[in-house]
Amino acid sequence: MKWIGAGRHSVRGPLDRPSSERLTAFLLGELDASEATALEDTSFDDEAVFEELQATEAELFDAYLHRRLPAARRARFEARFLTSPEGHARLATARALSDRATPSRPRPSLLEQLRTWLGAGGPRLLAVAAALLAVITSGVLLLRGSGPRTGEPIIEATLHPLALRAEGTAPRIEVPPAASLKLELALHEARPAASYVAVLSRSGAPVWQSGDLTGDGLRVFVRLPAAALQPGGHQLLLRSAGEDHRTVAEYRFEVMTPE
Amino acid sequence: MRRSFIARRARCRLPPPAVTGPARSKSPWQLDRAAWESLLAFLSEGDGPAAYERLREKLEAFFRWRGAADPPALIDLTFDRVAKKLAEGTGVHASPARFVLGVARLVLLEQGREQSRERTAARATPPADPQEERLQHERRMAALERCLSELDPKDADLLLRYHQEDGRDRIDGRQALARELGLPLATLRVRAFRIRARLERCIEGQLGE
Repeated sequence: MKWIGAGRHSVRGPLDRPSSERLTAFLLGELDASEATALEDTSFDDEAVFEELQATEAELFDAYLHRRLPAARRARFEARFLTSPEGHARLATARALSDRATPSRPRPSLLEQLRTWLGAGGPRLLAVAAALLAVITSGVLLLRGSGPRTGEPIIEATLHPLALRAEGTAPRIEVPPAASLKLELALHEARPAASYVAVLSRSGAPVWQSGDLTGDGLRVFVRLPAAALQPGGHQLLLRSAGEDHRTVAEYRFEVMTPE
Repeated sequence: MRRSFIARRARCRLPPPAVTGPARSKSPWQLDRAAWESLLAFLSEGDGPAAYERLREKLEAFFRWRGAADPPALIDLTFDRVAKKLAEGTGVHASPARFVLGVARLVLLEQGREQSRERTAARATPPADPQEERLQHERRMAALERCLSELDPKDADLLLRYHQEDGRDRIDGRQALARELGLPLATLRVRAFRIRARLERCIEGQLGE
């Protein structure tokens, strides 16, 4: 049987191509029904558009993984792509690929950074470097010694939810290997009666989680073993332990090992 | 993907049921060899298996993007419906791909999958044991390594470089890679995606074994 109709390969120039933003909106269910239907039709007729949609979908997984999606889109992504085992498998593969492509590198110590800087600028920069070092050091949280001296040291720090502070200001916490880290999590909404904390690495890999929390309506205390943490950025999620596992608040911090 | 074609063809090689063909029969309509061949001819005008596989891939994406719970079952149902319509002599006034898409939309509507998706959307995956997740991640990393080693080294290199770094470094790196390969960024993006799709299939194959 022959079909009767228009040419099966549509002739479309680059100007006709749906923009990347439109493809993303389609995948996240943000287009109205008629627009979505039209784009679906096009994807069945036009191989290039179908492939661009697939590529956009793959990049959405990366964007979700690296937290580049704004909150509303993040929620839509979870609702559309993370409700099946296949979706979770694709996210896990995106994480593996990201880890493989960007292996974590040891961070240079402050002293090494200073040496490099001085090497480039010469001794005349020494005074400036000393001032800089003082500024950097003042930004590092060194809150030690509140625990018993005879046992493992306890490092204490306070974290504020991501929504209440600008990106890029994650506190840096120096954690000796044998220590434990006691975090005070400030809240901007009431904590559900049953909740837990999940800690993720910078690439989103799960690191540690616990439901052993204390606190009140304004803050939550949680204690992490230093052994669970690697140097570098971490994300901490306070989640409801109810059926929806809603994220109540999100925090970031950076772990540094002492010189 | 190839297995899906072979599996369906194998099904059609089974002895046809006693009553086949038009749905006017009181017995449920079943895809037989003749209907299968007719479906392939319709889809491709000669290039049957390849066109079938490509359309299957598009249907899989269509059902996935609409949030259907069981895309493979819906794809089979769609092709069965198309084959049945062809056997019944239904006139087709669109391209094969559009015709199949139209049938797929009806199948989806009938199944009410979109509503079920909305109902299940808010259901997040319960937290897994971090130790177990770490083990799974390590297994996936090992599978990724094996699959990378099966790729052409140039493809593996392109894929890894395309996915290097996050933030500003990532964008700069991709622009530099595109310049180095003499490709527009959009072409590089699609090329990286094709390699990634092969890698994903390989990894799922390895982990499923």
